[in-house]
Amino acid sequence: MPDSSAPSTPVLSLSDVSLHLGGRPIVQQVSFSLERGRCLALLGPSGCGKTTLLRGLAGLAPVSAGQVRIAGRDVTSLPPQDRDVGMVFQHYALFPNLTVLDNLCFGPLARGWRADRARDRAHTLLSMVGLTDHAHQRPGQLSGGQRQRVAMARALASEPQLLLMDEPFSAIDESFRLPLRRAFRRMQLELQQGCVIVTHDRSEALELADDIAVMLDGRLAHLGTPAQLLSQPASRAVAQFLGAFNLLDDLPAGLRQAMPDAPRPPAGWAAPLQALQRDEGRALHAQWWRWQGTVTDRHPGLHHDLLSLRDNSGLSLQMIDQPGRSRIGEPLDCVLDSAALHPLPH
Amino acid sequence: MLKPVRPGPGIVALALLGLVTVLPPLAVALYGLSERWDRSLWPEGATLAWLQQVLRDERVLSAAARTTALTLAQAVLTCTLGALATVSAYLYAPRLSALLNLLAQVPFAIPAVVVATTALEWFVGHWGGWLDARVLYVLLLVPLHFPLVHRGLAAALQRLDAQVLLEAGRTLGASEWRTIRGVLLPLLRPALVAAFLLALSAGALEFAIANLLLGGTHELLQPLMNSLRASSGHHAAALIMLSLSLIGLLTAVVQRLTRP
Repeated sequence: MPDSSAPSTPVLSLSDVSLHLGGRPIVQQVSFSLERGRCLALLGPSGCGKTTLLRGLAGLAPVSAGQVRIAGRDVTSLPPQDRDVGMVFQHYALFPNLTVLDNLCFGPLARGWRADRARDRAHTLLSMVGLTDHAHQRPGQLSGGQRQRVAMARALASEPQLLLMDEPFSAIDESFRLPLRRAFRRMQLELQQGCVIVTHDRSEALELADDIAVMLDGRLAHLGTPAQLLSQPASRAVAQFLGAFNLLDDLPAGLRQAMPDAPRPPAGWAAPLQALQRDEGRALHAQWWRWQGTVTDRHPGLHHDLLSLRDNSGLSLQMIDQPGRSRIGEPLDCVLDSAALHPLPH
Repeated sequence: MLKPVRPGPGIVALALLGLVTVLPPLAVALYGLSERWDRSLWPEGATLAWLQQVLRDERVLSAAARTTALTLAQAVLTCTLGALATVSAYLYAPRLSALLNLLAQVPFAIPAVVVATTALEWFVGHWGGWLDARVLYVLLLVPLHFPLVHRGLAAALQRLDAQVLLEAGRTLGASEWRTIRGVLLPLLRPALVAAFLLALSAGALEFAIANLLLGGTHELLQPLMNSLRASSGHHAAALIMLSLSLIGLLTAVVQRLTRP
């Protein structure tokens, strides 16, 4: 019998998983695996099937085809109770009639733990999420952020193999969201808890996940680390969804000179926005392409401005710049490192 | 500048509603506690005699016992079956919920007199004898009072997002019954209590079917009140007052006992 706790066994593994709702395919042939202690983000726009896939992993939606294995065990046809998962729902789904402590003890007691062991575990988790003083309050007496932390602690109370989270930070005010998700990441790393988190927020996925699975139209469109996603998107659609690239159908003449042997990829090229920078009189490297464009639009942000530039030939590119440094109509000399260009296969 | 919202029309509407609701039972109570009220605008001479006579009347006591038993039976049955149907449909067969919503409209479309006469024709006229009229009375009231249970309970389930709570319980490793027993039922308790009290009150005040189906053999309080009205208005008023007081008392006790 294989040892399911061996370090080499992925905590989650999906093979060609499909899910249908009302006869309509929502998720199609998704395959990936997740190693122990890692966090995977299912990232995609609304309606792409990421929440349905998560529900399929939890056993709350039936898998139409394929296989789901948790810690090496085939759970495809098992009910949620027998899957050894914890789940954080989008609006937490805390039990309003139970105290915070009872919410945390509910799962362990249902799984047959002794009451004192369940209480000890609950107190440990409450201490980890900083809510020890709220143990005897009811969810209705807590703030949104506190409820979110209770939901997370409750999902972890039974020491599940896998933690599933459905947009867990989306219902929280932006000012609280960032510290909460950082606290979650610290806890996840501390516990070495395997985790799948559904989100449509790109910055959340980039910050929290070790691996990112981009889903588009029910299919897995990209799987890789955040660094890979930001430098080598699997397709033009992925690059467009991320909105962090300059997309070129073909190489402009200057770039063609810098890359004389480059093939012509079917879906063009993608360059991370950061690859286009102000020239600032630096010595021209052989692989750099010098380009001049005029600022046609400026989108101010908290940490940077996003500029739209256009040259005389009609080529439009976007560039990240320091806040307030540029103004519309200003000509800018820029350079782009051709090494940052990534060919798009489709 | 924003003008402050004035509650004027709302207060007037509330006052009017209160007046319309409170005045009739108040007048009945005054009539039941006065010696006479037929010579001037105001009642004359306070007395508890009517009340005492009613409480000593064998006919009233046996009707009250019968009414209590049948009303409780129909309220318990309506709540049990209605709650089971509503909760099951909401959690496991959402399409059935639409059918239940439709069924909950039916009692309002059929007058109680029609129900009573049809029941008399079918169960007493055709197949009389095999089904006790009191059992038939209870069975007739259950579907008629089903909307009182279904409406409140369906709204409560919706408000609680019961489906998600059940799913949360399942991912935590709990059986559905454990989550229903430990979470949903306590949360639904106020709605269930309200439904029970509504079914109880509606049963206690139901007249048409009680009169037509049981009037000759198993007299209930409602027809008795009506017949007393013809012989002694003061006795009828005392009985109505007693009946309303008991329902009010029961409501207060049940609400007190089921306070979260």
